[in-house]
Amino acid sequence: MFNVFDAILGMFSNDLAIDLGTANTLVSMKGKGIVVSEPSVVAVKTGPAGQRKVLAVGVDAKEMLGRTPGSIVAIRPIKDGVIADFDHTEEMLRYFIRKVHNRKNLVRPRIIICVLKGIKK
Amino acid sequence: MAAAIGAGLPITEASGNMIVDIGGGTTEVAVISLAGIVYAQSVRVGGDKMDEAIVQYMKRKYNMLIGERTAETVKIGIGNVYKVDDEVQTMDIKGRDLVSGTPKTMEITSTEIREAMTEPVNAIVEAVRISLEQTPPELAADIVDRGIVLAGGGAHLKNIDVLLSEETGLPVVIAEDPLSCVVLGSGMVLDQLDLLKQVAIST
Repeated sequence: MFNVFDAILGMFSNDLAIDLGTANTLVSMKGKGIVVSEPSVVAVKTGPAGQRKVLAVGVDAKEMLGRTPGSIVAIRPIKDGVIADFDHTEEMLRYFIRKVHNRKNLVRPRIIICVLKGIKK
Repeated sequence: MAAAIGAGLPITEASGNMIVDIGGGTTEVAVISLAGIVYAQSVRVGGDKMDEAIVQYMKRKYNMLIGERTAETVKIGIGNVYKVDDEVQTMDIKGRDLVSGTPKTMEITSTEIREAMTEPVNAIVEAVRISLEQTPPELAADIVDRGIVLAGGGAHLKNIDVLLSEETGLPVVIAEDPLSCVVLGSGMVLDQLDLLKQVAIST
């Protein structure tokens, strides 16, 4: 029963495949090929009251690596093939998915993501 | 696994395929047959370790501090892991002199970069060698015929295929568009959901 529902939704959803890599993140969409290919870097600005704002993701954030003042951190949230910083990884994935997925569709995208063989965390 | 599908290997057939995915943080070596992983090994050596090695090398040899971004640019620009001919490339790199504390520019050759990257590159070669030792004989025989397929950004490293082929005595091919192999492979299973059922890992 549930599978039938899934199958119908599947007809409308944009299927995404994501390669969440240490250096680069790639997203491909069914029928469209690769839609995102950017470095896995996020730049976050911390405000005076501690509020955090994502400044840049991907290529723009990579430009900032090693060139940031105290209030901004540009980081690579994935280290040695594992997610080292969940919050920033989440922000980055959110950005990439928003970038390619049309929210007006009202259908959640079906996403496939690869993991490392031998991952134990 | 995804890289193997993306590289176009016949993974569902009863024959051995060896794929080496050199990524940013890790290098994965896998032997695949009948849509399953026969042997897989992952070492924490990848592009980042090579950049780091270049930074360390510059610090040790020239007392010069360079950023990891610069190191990466150098690696992509003139990085060469195996000496084929006498051609030497040079590149200007900028950084800070640790003795005087001032920024400066220096010329560096591809030979020096090769020397700097020896350790991480050898770790990759070693991982491939260990995987080959662990492969069951029938599959090993298939790999002799088909060779090793390289994927991941590290496959762009100049002459990495020549080096691996020299070290293992096997044919080594670089996948078409190595960087995109994993995502293309994942995308391909979206189109073939029955294949996904075969290769998916339950959590």
